[in-house]
Amino acid sequence: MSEKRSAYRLPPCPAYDVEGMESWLSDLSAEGLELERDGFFLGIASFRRVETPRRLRYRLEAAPNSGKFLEDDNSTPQQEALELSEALGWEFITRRGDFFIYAAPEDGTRELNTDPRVQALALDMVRKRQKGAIFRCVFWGILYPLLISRIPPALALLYLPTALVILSPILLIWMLAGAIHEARHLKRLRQKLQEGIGLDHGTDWKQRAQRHHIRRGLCAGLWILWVCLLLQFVGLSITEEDHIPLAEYNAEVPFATLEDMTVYPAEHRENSILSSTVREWTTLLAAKNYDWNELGYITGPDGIGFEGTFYVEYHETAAAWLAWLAAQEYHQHDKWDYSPLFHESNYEAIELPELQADLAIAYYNQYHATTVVLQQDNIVMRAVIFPHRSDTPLYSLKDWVRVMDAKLAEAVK
Amino acid sequence: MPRKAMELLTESMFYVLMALCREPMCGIDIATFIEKRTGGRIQMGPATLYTILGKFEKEKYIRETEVSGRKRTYQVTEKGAEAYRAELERLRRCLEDAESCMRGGI
Repeated sequence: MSEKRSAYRLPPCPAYDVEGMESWLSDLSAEGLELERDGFFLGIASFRRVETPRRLRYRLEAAPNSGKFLEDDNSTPQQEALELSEALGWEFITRRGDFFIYAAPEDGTRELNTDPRVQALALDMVRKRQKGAIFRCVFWGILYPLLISRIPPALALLYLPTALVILSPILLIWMLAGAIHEARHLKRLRQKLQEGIGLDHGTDWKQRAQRHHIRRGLCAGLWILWVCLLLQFVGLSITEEDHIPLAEYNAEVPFATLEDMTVYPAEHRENSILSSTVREWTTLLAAKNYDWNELGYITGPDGIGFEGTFYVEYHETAAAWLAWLAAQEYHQHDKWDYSPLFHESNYEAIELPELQADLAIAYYNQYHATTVVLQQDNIVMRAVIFPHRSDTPLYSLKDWVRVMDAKLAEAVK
Repeated sequence: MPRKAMELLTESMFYVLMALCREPMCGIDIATFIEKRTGGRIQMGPATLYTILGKFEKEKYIRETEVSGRKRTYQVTEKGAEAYRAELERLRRCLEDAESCMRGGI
């Protein structure tokens, strides 16, 4: 028998479909394709073509320890297990998922597993690990991204593109459904073995192959799309290509700007670090969003100038409760945001007058910039004013907040 | 009252304990012993044997006494010997009941 060349195939069933995998591999061996050592990589099986096809028996055996992160991690059984298997005619080939794959000639060699009830015990180890898979889905799918990004969940929904907001839960549900399906399949398999019924090594794998390939293809496509959308979002956040210079922006905005805070004309400029820009976007949960950055210069009649930055984040959300939640998250995020320079929070609350807004909170944030969070009905905004020079002709904070509040009330109407 | 998983020894498990109650052995010797003892009726699969040895070691029915290269030799513990005797007694009673049933016609 001489090796000719390699062939590659996509498995027609998941790694945990023991009967399907065994049947498929055996059928392929009869066609002259024998699974190669370490023959799985990124879900693709690699085979060597043999001149004289011979039908081999392939058997999957539950691995006692979990594999690495990748499904195909090519770890091996313990030496004693290898020795026993070889002595009794079985060759270890590779690992896929939670199972080691062995092969032996079709005739003569005793079965790898001769006691279904003992095989059920081995499967218990896989089932125990499976239970953790569902928790891992929740951690990697929800908690970890939130922890890494440090963006509170409601604000994440307002900032993330609609496609990502829709696709993310779909993928998460898909992962969870997959984990649950695997758990149920292994449970059924175990019950069958526990009743003393051996596995069906000749099961018809072709029946479910097409469905499996479609599912895998769709899943891979959705993941690729998700990664592309995420990279695009991150890229735009860094390059700010979607930010429009204020000098080129002529539309009306529904919130008060620096100009509204003073009776004197305000001028926008740029320096090497800051520029005056606005970003507008729409998401599924907020029809209108603005990210307003204004580097303003105001000169009064006696020459006293103002120089400072004015930031507004404004969202017209889909529901009042979402706006309220976002307002709370803005506040809490600033309150617990520790200054890396001073290693402590510089947060300090500021008392406000009576306003029309449903929720109004003012404070000095960690950079001692005056910050106001207002929420009325389905609209929420956070405004931050940071004077670089403080000798001047701006309204007092209370009047400033009243201007913002009045503009907000108009927007709500 | 239903018996717990390890209280119920399968035939394969029973024969593994039988082999180790006779003398300490390594895995391949256990398989050979069982095949000879049963006249070829039980040919222990390697995965079955390996799973049983792992389970018995975890349940402290057996312990490893020697490692030589890839070969590990096992010896039954007192707990394992007790489990074997209990199962033997259970099987003996089953046999007695069956035989008396045959004689008495009940």
